[in-house]
Parts: sequence; structure tokens; C-alpha cells
Amino acid sequence: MDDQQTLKRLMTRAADQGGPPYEAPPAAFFVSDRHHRRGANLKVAAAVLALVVPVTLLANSRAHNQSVANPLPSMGSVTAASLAHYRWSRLPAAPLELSSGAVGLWTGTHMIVWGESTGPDGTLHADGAAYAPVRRSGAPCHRDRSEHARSPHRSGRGSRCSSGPA
Amino acid sequence: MGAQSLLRVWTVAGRVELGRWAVAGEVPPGFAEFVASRYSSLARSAYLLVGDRGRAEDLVQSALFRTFAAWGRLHAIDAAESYTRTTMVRLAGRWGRRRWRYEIPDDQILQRQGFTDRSSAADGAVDVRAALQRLPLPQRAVLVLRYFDDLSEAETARVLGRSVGTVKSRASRGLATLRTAGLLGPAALTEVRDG
Repeated sequence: MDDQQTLKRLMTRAADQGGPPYEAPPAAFFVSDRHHRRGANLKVAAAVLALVVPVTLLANSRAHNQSVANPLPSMGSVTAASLAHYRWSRLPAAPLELSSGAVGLWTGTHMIVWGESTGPDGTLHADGAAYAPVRRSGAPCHRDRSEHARSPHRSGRGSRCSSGPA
Repeated sequence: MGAQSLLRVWTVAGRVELGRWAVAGEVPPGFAEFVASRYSSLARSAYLLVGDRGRAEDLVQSALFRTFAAWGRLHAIDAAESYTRTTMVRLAGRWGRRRWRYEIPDDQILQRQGFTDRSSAADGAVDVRAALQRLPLPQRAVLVLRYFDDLSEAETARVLGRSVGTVKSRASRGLATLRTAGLLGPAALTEVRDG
């Protein structure tokens, strides 16, 4: 008897002593349509993906082409997002010097900013500027020289942007 | 029509037919006979593959679910058995890599409750079962298929999807490990004869 026959006898003995004889369940136990349902679900998912992915890619491609075909002008060093074209573009140079603490408002056609402070000592200014996004241009407001410089948060009256670029 | 197209039509037709049986809850012809005649043999092989009776039955039944799903293209019982054994080995490998989250048998509890573990009665049987579990699954599968199920080298290679050379080398390494463990060789031969 060689090793292979010895192993066969040992394994047979181990299988025999593993417990009582195995009883086969009824064949109907294994009858299930879950594989077919799973296959059908996978096919539906694949069909949906096959439809959705090309449409999405086509839409993205069209949006990209549109933004390339209508590039916005590049001006200055400041940028703004063009939500319609999903890209950034440069804004014209600001007519005001770098400042902080300004107040801004949107009129529907213009963005008006005024009453800022500059420098480490917080010097107040009463000037302002208006920017028209449609024309992509901005200009300083005409200042009423009689107005005193004041904090923009306290300039409830007297200050006005008397002329804009529009 | 090429061979690939014929095979595809045959496979699709088999699946449609099987789907009709599955939806109707009917057992396809030959499947019940296959389960009844081969279940015990498959379960015994599975027991040697996984080393536990409960997991062995889980393994066989999981494989038989897949065999049923493929029954439309398995026309002969031999092909079905080969397919089931292939599936069993693959599932055992997958389960071996997965962290076991289910029940773990404990011999101590069985003894406390007064049960007798028949497998403990024969040391040789326990030894070979434990030694098989220490082998890597590829070697264990080759030993079980070749020397317990009596498959030829070519059949074992087909079931495992490997070459005959791979089967030979795995069998050789597995036997050498069991020899080193003292399960095979002249001393073991005497024990087996006496036992």
C-alpha cells in the first residue's frame, strides 16, 4: 500500500466518521428564479446605464463646446464665475483702490460699492464705484465733495452714486 | 452560423427553458436524480475540503443552487457533477478568504452536554482532517479530488481549471507535507492496516 492508498483510506475513514449519512434535500429546494431575476435586474441596470451615460456625456460635451465657442473676454487680474458657461473669466481692473469695510448692493443692473476704509489706520473714504456685469465695465461714482467721509454703515443718507457706467 | 453563435443560441435557449421551470417552481428533468444520487458524495468531499459538517452542507447546497442556475447547459450528470465540484472549490476559496461570521463548532460544549463526537473516536481520522485543513486550499482540493473522489489527473485539472502539471506538483507537495506530519509513510501504513 503506497502513500496515495493510505491517504485514501484515511480520508474515507475521516469522512465516514464525520457524522451520520448526509440526507439530500428535495431538489425543489434548489429551484429558484433568483438567478434569473438577478440577471434580469442586471440587464435593466445595464440598459439604463447604456442610455444615461451617452446622454450625459453628450450634454457635457455640448456645454463644453458652447463655452469654448463663446469665450468671455479676459480682462484684468480679478476673476468671476460665469454660471451660465461653467467657467471663470477675468474682470476689468477695479476703479477703486484696495480697501475694506465697504458696503455693496445690487440694483438689478449694477453692483454699487461705497464708503470703504484703507490703510492700517482705517482712514475712511466716501467714494464708491458701480459695476455693470452685462457690459463688464465699472466706473467710480461721482462724489459729492460736500459729503464727509464716514463709516459706510453709518452713512444712511447724503451719499449717492450719482452716475454709473451704464 | 459560427460555433460561437451556436453556443450562444444554445446557452440562451437553455436559460430561457430553465427560467420557465424556475418561474413555474418546477424541477427540470434530471436535476432531482442528480441531487439524490450525488448529494452524499459531494457532501463527503466538501467535509474534507472545509473540515466541518455544517459548513460542508452549506458548501454543497450553495454549489447546487449554482448548478441549478446552469442546468440548461449541463446535459449530462457527469458534466453537472464536475461543474458542482468546480463551484465547491471556488466557493471554499472565497469563504476561506472571508472572515467567518457564523457559528463556530466547539467540541468542549458538546462534551459537557454529554454528546459523543464520533470523529474524535478515531485519532487517524481527526489527524488527517486537521492536517488537510492546514494545507493550502489548492493542495487540499487536489488531494481530495485525486485520492478521495478518484478523479484522474486530467479530470482534476479540468475541475480546477489548471494544467495537469500543476495538479501533479500540488499533489506532490501535499503528500510531502502529510508525510512530514507523520500521517503517511511506513508507520502510518501499519496504523491504517490495523485500524
